[in-house]
Amino acid sequence: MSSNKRKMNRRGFLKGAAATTAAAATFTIVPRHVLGGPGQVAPSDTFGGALIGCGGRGGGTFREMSKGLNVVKLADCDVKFKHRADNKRIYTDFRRVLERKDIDVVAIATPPHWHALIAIAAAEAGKDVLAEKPMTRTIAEGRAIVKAFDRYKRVYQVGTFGRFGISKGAGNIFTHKVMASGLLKKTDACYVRRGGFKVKQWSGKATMAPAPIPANLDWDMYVGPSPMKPFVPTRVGGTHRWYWDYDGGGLGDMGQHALDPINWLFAKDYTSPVEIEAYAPPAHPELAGMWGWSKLKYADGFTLVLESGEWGEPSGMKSRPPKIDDLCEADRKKVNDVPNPAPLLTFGEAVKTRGQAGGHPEAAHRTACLMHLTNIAIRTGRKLRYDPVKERFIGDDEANRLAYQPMRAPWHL
Amino acid sequence: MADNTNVEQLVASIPDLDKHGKIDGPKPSDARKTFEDLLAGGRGAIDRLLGMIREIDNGEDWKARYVLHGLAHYVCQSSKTEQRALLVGVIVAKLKSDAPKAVKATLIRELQIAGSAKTVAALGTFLADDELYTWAANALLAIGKDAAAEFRKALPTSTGRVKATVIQNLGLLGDSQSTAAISQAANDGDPDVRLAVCGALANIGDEGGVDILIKASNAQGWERMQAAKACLVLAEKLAAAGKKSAAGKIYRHLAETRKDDEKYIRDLAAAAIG
Repeated sequence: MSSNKRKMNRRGFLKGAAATTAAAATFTIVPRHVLGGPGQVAPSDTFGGALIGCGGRGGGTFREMSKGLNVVKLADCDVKFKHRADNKRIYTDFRRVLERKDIDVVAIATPPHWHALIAIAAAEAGKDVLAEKPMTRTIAEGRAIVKAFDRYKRVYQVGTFGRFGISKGAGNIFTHKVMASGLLKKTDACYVRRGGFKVKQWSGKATMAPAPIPANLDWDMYVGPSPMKPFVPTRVGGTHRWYWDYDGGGLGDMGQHALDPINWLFAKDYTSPVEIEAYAPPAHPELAGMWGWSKLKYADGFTLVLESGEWGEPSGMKSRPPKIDDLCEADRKKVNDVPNPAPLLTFGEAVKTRGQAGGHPEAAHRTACLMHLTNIAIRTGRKLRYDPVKERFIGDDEANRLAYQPMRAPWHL
Repeated sequence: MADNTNVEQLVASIPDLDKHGKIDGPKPSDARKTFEDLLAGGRGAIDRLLGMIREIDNGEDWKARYVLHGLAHYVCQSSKTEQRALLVGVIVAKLKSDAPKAVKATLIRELQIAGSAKTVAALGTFLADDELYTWAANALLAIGKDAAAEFRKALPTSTGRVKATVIQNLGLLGDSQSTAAISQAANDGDPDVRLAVCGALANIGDEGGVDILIKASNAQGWERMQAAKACLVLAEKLAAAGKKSAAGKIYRHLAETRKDDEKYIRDLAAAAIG
């Protein structure tokens, strides 16, 4: 790609649209690279991109964002770039990146405690976003993302893609339609998901001591909305997953991969469980720890069971998928008459068409809620009742304190 | 109540770390027994548990921190009102002692879980403490509307990030009594304070914030984006409250002042005007 093309971007092109129109009156030959077409990319189809969070998942997240789009990376931003930030190409402060008008799409691959705030700020700046999983660290953050992307009409896709595959299978589509129909008034259908949550791997070590802050790290910016703590080397660099301040252990971090396809399959993209019970030891104040299982029951009777397979006794629950026999004759016909759901749009397709991506905010949020609800049941040690419309625990204000956690100013939702 | 509880032994009964330094934790039934035994020991036992928390969190006192945190959650069960008052009372007393600030931060965090309206005065005193104000603010915000008076009290004397914290939290609590006091900081020299004012006035949703937010939305860069957001939030609240004229004033301003590079805001303001 020529340097001229690199400098050109979608907004820049659109801004010049009036001049181009005027020019068209005198020039009848328009270069192919302006019109686009097979083998050519028009500048209007070139997107200025930024990567915020350049750690282990940064490159992969930016590549996912660029699939199907012609994205030119204009900025890298990370709080560990203090020694080389020039505020032109390399940044430590995402706010300076979002101020740029030539950036259209943003890939976010920071630790999770920043996912919501940066995604929301990007929407406020008019950018489309692909953000690494997990979508959020709290229930409040997820609802705030949904509101922001709805308000600003921007595209959001969470960085997990299992639902794109599962939503193509005929059997899965049928299950989805049965569950989405609302015709199962009280089902005993159950799905047990065992393993894959990396519980021990991402549980914290309790013996880590504070250390001097590395010279290249903006610690205050890293901590961001979380409580200010002394620097401990394991609080950064992947092992951030150990800490409640930044993530939610193996479940909070990996759960979005495991549960997002399940949420689509059982048509739970627009609701949440009403009862949550977990079997686990008490939680450490700072560190995510071990757990055995969690039962999440929905208003329609469907139960999702998460089993770590790494601690304590199993739940004793078995999967029992919804069957056609669960419906009466008339209802079976109704389900069969429902059209299949539309294919899910990728991030690139959604950006180009201004549609909604398959892993859109509400769907991603409802999946993330499964992790958050379980973690809150683990941390409180109580069986919880939940209102999936108001998104608050019923009769348990203290559990709500974990769903709606305060942030350190100036950061807030 | 018995005061001969062997607190050290109860804490030590928590299973040791595994070979990787990770916590396996006790069975829930064993943990419950530990908590009940501690609570049965009354103020003395709880106070001795708090005394085991050290200034530096390097793992040496991890079992004491673990038990204290578990206890804070345990007493939040609806059937444990008296035990909760006991734990919170001992923590508040410790906060008034000369314990190191790092220990106090740990204890304030437990009040973020188990604190109540009766705790807000004790927490409010720490809003004036440069090292502990964020901890106190988080605990107060978690407690909710009962805490607004403490933020109100702290506002006149606070500066810088403390001031931003206080204003932000008054806004998050939707404290309409503070609208006038918050508005006075609209021209503060600190951009964090100015943006806290914008966010707070938007959250409170009072008509009195309209002109301040419109003026703020003429800033540049990050402040411009954040003030525009505050404008939209306030306009949505005013429209929902039937104050169409005030909402319309905000939308018209955004529709008129946002050029092509902020077309997405201009469009949504224009759509709201209809």
